[in-house]
Amino acid sequence: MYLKWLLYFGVIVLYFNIQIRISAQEINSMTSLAVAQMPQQVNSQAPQNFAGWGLYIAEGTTTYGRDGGDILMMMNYSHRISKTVEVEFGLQYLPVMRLFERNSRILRDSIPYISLSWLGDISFMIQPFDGILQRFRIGIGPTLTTHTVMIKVNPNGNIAPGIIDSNGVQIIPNAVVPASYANTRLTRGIGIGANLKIDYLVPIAPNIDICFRAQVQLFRASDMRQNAQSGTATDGGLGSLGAFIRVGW
Amino acid sequence: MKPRIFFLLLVCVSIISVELPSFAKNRNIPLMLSTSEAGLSDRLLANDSSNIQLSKRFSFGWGVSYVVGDITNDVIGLQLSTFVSYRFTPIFEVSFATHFVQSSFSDETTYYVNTAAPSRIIPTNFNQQGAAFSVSSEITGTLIPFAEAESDFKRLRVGFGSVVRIAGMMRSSSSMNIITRNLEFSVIYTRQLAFGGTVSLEYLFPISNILEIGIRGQAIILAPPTYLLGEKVSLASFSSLPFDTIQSTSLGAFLRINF
Repeated sequence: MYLKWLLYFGVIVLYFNIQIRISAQEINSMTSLAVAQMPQQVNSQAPQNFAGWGLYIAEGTTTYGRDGGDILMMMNYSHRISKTVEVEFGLQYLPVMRLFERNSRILRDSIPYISLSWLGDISFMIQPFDGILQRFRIGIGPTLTTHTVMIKVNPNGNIAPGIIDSNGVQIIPNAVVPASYANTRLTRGIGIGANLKIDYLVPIAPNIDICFRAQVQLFRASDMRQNAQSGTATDGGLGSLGAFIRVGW
Repeated sequence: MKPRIFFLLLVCVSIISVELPSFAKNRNIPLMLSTSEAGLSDRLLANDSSNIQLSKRFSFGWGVSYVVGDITNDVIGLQLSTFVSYRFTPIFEVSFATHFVQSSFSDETTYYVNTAAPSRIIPTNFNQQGAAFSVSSEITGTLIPFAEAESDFKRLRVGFGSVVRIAGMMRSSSSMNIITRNLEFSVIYTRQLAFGGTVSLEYLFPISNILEIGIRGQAIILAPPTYLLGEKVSLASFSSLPFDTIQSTSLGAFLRINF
């Protein structure tokens, strides 16, 4: 009799043990899944906005010389509009100062030069690749630039209308008296063009990347002539290579 | 006795086995998790929330200010700024900021000079051109003295810091000496690196959970340049400001993002 009840209870216990294990495994797996997904859910909230700051070495029209390049400072803001496309608003500043030495048999002189350029651009940064090349991006968009260039030049005065008297009558016609001259030429202008960018993102923290970038800005310039001493803006371009750190949120 | 004990044991186990799943489900607690797993879960939650709190310590932003100083030749110009800051405590944070200022001008003044009798008037011009820029980087300790207050003063902030400024200027003038009829030219070219201090006062207006707009007034004081290339002149040589006093004052607004 006891053995019979014992057998019944043994079967019941075995049944509930199995049920308990199954329930426990379900709870365990659900909880483990929840625990496992917890950081993933945090990580899956990928940043949609980014801000960056960096430095480039730049060479181009406004740097006035082919040497080691000049420092271009940049900051940008970008917003992810799809999984593979970001729109980026960039602002870059390129101050250049040089002191050229001019040595010849008849003249030894130094020519100071200053160039101050702001470049604002909008770029659509696209991640065209998958896999190992996923972090490569290509960008293209419009560029707006302002530039101020000042350089020492040989004085080139206009011929004065001559020496006149108080009544405005010419006393010595065509006298060579420079009436308007300057030994520097200041040019201010704006340029509109396009930019092409190629970069590679290196993540260093969940929301922080270092971006290595090469870019080219091409623009057509128009000068804002103020007076006779103002120069003429020239079309040109600027190539730069550098890196910036960007933060996402 | 042994079968009875065994029987009682089985009854207890059966009761526990029956009640345990419903108990666990009703309490919504993963009772079958080991202590270490539960601890991991707790730690993850704790880290998650603490990360959010920690991330709120970082801020960055951009700003635009009106500025008056030696670079702008004592007239009002524009200054662009960007900054990154880290909040150590509720009442203290450290900021790294960079400010860009640029100006240029080109003046041409025509004047007439009377010479000796018979009266002659010589028309001539006085030309002045110039371009200047500065890039100032600063590290500032910002105090939020009323951070714990309930009033609006809790958004008031005072900053003190040190500044390093790279500046350059090129300026020219030309005129004619009426007596000698000689052309007289002057070109000044200088690049300077100078250190100094800054004091700022700002007030923040919250826009959203992470966005704020700030109003900021700032003054920068610089010592004579420690590195100089070109003429040893003050950038303020054409202005009324002396060499080693306030180099620029600015007032503007900035957008601040906390993350």
